[in-house]
Amino acid sequence: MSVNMPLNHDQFAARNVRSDDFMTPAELISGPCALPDAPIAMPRQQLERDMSLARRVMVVLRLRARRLPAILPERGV
Amino acid sequence: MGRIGLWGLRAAAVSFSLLCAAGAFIIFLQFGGADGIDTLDVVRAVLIFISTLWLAWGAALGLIGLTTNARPPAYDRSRPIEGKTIILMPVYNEDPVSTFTRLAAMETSLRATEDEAEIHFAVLSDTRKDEIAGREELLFAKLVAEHDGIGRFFYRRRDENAGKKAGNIEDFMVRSGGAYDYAVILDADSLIEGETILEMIRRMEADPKLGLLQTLPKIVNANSRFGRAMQFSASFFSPVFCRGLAMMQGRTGPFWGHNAIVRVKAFAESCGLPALRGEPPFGGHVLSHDYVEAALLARAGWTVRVDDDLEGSFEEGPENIVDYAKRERRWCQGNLQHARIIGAPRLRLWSRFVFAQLIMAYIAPLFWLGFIAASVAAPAFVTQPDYFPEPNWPFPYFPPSEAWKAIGLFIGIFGLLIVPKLLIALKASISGRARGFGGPADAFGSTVLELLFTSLTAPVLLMYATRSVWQVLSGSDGGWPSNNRGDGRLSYEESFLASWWITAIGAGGLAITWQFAPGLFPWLLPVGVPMILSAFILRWSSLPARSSMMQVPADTNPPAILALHDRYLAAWEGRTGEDTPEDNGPELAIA
Repeated sequence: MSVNMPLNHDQFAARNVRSDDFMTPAELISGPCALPDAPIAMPRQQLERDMSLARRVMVVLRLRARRLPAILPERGV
Repeated sequence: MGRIGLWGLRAAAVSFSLLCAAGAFIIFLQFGGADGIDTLDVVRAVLIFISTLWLAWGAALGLIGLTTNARPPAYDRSRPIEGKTIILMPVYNEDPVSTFTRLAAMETSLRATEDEAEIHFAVLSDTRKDEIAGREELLFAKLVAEHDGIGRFFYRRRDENAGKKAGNIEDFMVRSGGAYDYAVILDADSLIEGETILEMIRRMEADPKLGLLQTLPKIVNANSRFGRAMQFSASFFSPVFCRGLAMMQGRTGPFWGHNAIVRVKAFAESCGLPALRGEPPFGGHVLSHDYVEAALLARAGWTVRVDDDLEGSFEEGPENIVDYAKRERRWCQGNLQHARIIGAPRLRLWSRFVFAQLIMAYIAPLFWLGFIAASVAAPAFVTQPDYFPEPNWPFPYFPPSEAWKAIGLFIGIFGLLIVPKLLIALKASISGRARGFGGPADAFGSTVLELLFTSLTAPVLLMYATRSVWQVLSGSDGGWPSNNRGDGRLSYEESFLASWWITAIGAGGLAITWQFAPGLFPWLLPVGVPMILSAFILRWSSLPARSSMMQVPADTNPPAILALHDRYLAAWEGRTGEDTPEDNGPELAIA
């Protein structure tokens, strides 16, 4: 059936289904119409880095600065 | 499209935008530098570069979208659906008659397909008002009774609405997601044809790597002038721009938060959103969660795709500028918050680019405003030209006028705005698509009208957008007011209260321009006059449209799902003598 094909809805028009069993809306919602119990894990994703970009740059610069004295004399030689 | 083709197309679109922006930058510098380049000339040229870059990107999407037509992917449509699907309708203080009758219409539309796919419905209520929640319960019972819905219809109301809509969906996933393979996520104003829902499920089953499939919802039921203009734009232009987007999406397509289907397993394992460090507006819960979820799915290796060939997906839009601005305020906060997420580890490059686009969409007006302000201030910093640069030369030297370059730049920038839309109208006339919009003449007429309408409203929207960014950057949290989905008509008082400050800025701006930069005055009239008249524009655009222009296909050939929803709405509101919830009383018969 095509997506755009007109559907004949008349035969499915709103109808009231009635029986002798009565439930209040609250009973319905807490009973047969409560969401099914079928848990699934939804782990938290990482959206932010532990360190900001500026801090990461600072850390890299500091590391380089610590290494610098060891390198400079060699370059001098 | 192969990987090389995809990146080639993306590179072409970016190059086109950069080329346009660079052209605007150079032309403006030549114009501004005719009497010597000063700092303000450079500042204005940079602002023009950024603004043109953004406009050109929009134009590139439209132009690329014009090169192909939407086609469905290849898959076996006759294969029976095996997976179990849940249709999720999150609600938040919405009118339950309007929302629940949508579920009734969709369920009936699905039943009419006679497909045996197992599809359930869940109302996920985050409603805070007890009175509305009470009506939700009552009307849910009516829905279940009328549709024999026990075992297929579910209702849950959260005690706390932590995480807003994203938290609402997550709560469902964590509690019940294991029972389903796919979840169709709706908004409170969504409507999708039953056959379209089945198509969405089939496409998910046909591609096991597909994590999320987005449809292009068309705006329907608009009545006001503003609403009709948006509806026409969404129906006539958006499919072409969406085509361009779809051609460049690769595996990192968009998610607009509703009228989409997700693979529950993929969504659950990839889209658990943490609260961002710090306080709102930049910290706290992720507000515009949809694009983040799309990026996270792509990061986890799932495909996210918009299938623009899928028809039968609908939503409603705001009926007036104030409601539109309120929604934009909310989205602005959410999208600026993406500045915190754009650097998230392991995101795909295109996802980061999309975040940059989203941020740019909301800060672009600031660049235009900055350009206008700098242009008004520029004459104060101009040094008098040296008419006698050569000593002892008796005749003055007049620097050449570069005004024609400014005019050329103006035409070029407007061209980026209007040419894609005119080409869309041309293609629609040739292909026959214009028939649904009243024929080629009406489609062209409506296009011109839409361009005039957007020109009139753009300065007002620019001011609202600027205020939104200002509010977000200054740290005020906009919260999440529920949408006003009534007839949307604004009184003069409401219009004035919402726009007096725009009038004041417009009048003040024109007065300052007249005083300090009179040469710029006529150029600024198209911006200043609508600002001064903003209250009238707000009021006028909120009134019902009487013109036959801006026609859309749904006007002459209403989709079955809309007609069905109208019938349910009439019945539930007691307009056709059908039972109403009040008639039924608090206790309803359940089969």
